[in-house]
Amino acid sequence: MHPVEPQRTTLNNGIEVVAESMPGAQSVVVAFRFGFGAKDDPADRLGLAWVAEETLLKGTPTRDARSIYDAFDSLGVRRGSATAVEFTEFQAQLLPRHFREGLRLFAEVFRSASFPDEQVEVTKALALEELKRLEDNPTHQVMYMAYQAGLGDPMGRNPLGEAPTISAIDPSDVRGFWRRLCGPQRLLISVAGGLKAEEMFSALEEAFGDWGRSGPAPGNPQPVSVADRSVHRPKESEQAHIGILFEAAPRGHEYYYPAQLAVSVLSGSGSSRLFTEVREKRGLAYSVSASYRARRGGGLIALYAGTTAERADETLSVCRREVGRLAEDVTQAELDRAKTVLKGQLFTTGDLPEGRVGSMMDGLFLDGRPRSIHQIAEGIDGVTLDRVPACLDAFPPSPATLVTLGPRALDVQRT
Amino acid sequence: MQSTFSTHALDNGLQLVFEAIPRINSAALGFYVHTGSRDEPANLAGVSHFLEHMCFKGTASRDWRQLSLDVDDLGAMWNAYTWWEGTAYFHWVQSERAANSAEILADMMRSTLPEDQFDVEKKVILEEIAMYRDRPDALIIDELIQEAFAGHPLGQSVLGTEHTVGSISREQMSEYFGDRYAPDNMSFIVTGRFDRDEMIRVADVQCGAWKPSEAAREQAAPEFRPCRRVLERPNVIREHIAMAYPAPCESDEWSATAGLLSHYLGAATNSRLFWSVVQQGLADEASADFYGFSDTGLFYVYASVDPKNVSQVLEIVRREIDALKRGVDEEALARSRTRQATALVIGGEHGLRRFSQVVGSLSTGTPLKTLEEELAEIDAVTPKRVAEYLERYPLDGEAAMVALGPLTSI
Repeated sequence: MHPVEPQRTTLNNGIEVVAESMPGAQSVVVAFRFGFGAKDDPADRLGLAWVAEETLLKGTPTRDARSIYDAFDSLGVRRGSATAVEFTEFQAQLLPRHFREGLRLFAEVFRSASFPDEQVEVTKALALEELKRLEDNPTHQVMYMAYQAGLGDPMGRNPLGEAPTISAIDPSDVRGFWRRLCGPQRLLISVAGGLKAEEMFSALEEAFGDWGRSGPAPGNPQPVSVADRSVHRPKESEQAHIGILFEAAPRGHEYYYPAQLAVSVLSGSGSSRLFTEVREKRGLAYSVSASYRARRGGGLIALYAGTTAERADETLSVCRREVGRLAEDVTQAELDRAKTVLKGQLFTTGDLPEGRVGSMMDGLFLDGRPRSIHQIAEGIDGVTLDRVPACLDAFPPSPATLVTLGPRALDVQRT
Repeated sequence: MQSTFSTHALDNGLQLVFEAIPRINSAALGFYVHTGSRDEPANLAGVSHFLEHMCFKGTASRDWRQLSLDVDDLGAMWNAYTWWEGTAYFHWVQSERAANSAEILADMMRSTLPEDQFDVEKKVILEEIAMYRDRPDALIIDELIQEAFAGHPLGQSVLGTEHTVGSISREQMSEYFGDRYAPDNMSFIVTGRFDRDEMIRVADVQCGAWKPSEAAREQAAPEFRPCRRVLERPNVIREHIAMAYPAPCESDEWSATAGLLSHYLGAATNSRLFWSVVQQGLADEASADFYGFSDTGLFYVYASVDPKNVSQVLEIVRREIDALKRGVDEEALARSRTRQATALVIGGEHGLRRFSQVVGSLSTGTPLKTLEEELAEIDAVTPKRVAEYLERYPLDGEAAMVALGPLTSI
């Protein structure tokens, strides 16, 4: 069990930090999340935030791309980065003894990235390549289509952008975007691992504390609402790929944990309803799942199923029936089991710095408050059976967006 | 870092392998079965993988529903996987539930292969085969291995085909199961924090009565076959290209060098191919990897390319591979070592990653290595050692190559 609570501090210049010390851990993980992303792309430059993120490490006034990459690699840093609709995030996992030096490198690129023309052009070419690669991964493709169809613009954007808008990006657009939006006011930092919290804070203060305030503060969350829509896109694929999207209780809401448990009853374990009804009983699909997705302004449930075309109508109707039934007949035994499953995941991944960093960052970003493993477990435990139908009553799974990608439209899409 | 191994054998030959990781509060545990697609008669291609699915479908004391309920009541994260040389099943649980997990996993290994579930699960497998056809990037390694080791059992497909899976009968599976899932052909592995004595006790009670079968894998080492095969798939957008050269087997003293060299050439970031192909905007991926099997290995290169760029990308890949012969950059190699070593240290605290590592060692007959030993192996890979490696395993002969995508020829 983890007696530790996340510790919070605010650096001199306003950067919010959350940290958890994990005594004995061999590594430290740090995440930097900026509160801007694909939603901030101008409509005729979709993909701009993604291009900025991917080009960030490609040059500063004193270093070229290779020298930056080499500097990170000399420290053995494992890096990752991502552009989402609402944020842009950079992550690193490294040995505790390299923590200070790693932070200095990040501070340098955040503050002085120069986005050289030729590097922006390369990233644009890569974005176009990635878009085409997505065509060979219909599972991902159908979910991007579901967000686009269901949430519209800008909240449903694919951060990769679109071919014509990517091509329209000028290197000066990228530099302008970064200069305008990147500043300490929009930065949240989450860190966990084998250092004391004071050591983490002092290293962060040293690397980022003198970064002067600039740029606008993040705006209010944009609400999400799911459209009542059905879209089919023909594709000569082996399987029909089905994506469904509907609303759910947002983070921080009193129905947030009931919604988590409802999703867990539906999917995410061997005894869950979708797995049982679609796969185990009927053999309709290898892959079927539903998951909760949080945005700052609302919660979503996304469902995916992949099945051969002639079985797609039946698969859809079983999935829909299971979603509909959630409000009606979840049993105490199912609820208890869903709690055990969620807490099992929480506790087994709670040993890992990467698991804690992600959870604390989501708490800070989405509801302004990181929770300890114990607080989350308490939230899960506190849900009584009557809260599940009440939650689905307050946030019903309709309207819903249905998107299919495959050889033919489903029966429900042809009326 | 402070990991320690120990082993224990039951009288019937079941091997128990333990790796204690003291800091964490969870355990990853499960069975490794020394059977995979290379152990299948050709007419049963896919039976190992199908059987893996059937092990979730019922035992003498639990039907499929009860099995999944009991696992979920432990809050265990679980999965199973089948590949060319083996099959593995695992739970990842809080330490105090490890004994219950072990009991369930052992029960699953004595599946009754329930008749009423057999045809339902067959449909799931056929869906899985269809799914992989929509994922050319995930499928191509299987295609390449079929070509590189054609004519040898290692060249058999893991999933099998609609035809072979469709025609497997329960009796055929049952016979294969009885022969291969015997204690002298299996290991029970626990990594993380756990009570070793308790684990031995549970294994003894649950598995002690299992009968050995003296199952064996008697196969000559596979011979590498250069080839060039284009699989034309008009509905695939990218051209997916996989190529491979002969490499040492996993237990060979040169395997760490093969691994590090593949990292130097084609790691996802800051490698030779990253800068010369991906960062020229020519492909969304161009990577290299080392696959070590029990009796052979492959030095593997993969690229996902716009069809119009294929010849240019292949030319650059060729040039980069040829350049290795003229020597590798000492500093860049040192950075590759640092990155791999850091990744190992980080993974050393991840019970599930250590579990997979042990499975990898057992399946390839490689002695179990502590983290310190693995780090020392990485440390020993110098430019001189790379040069020696390339003399033993040159990368300039004819490759095995498979292209999958819209092109009719490359």
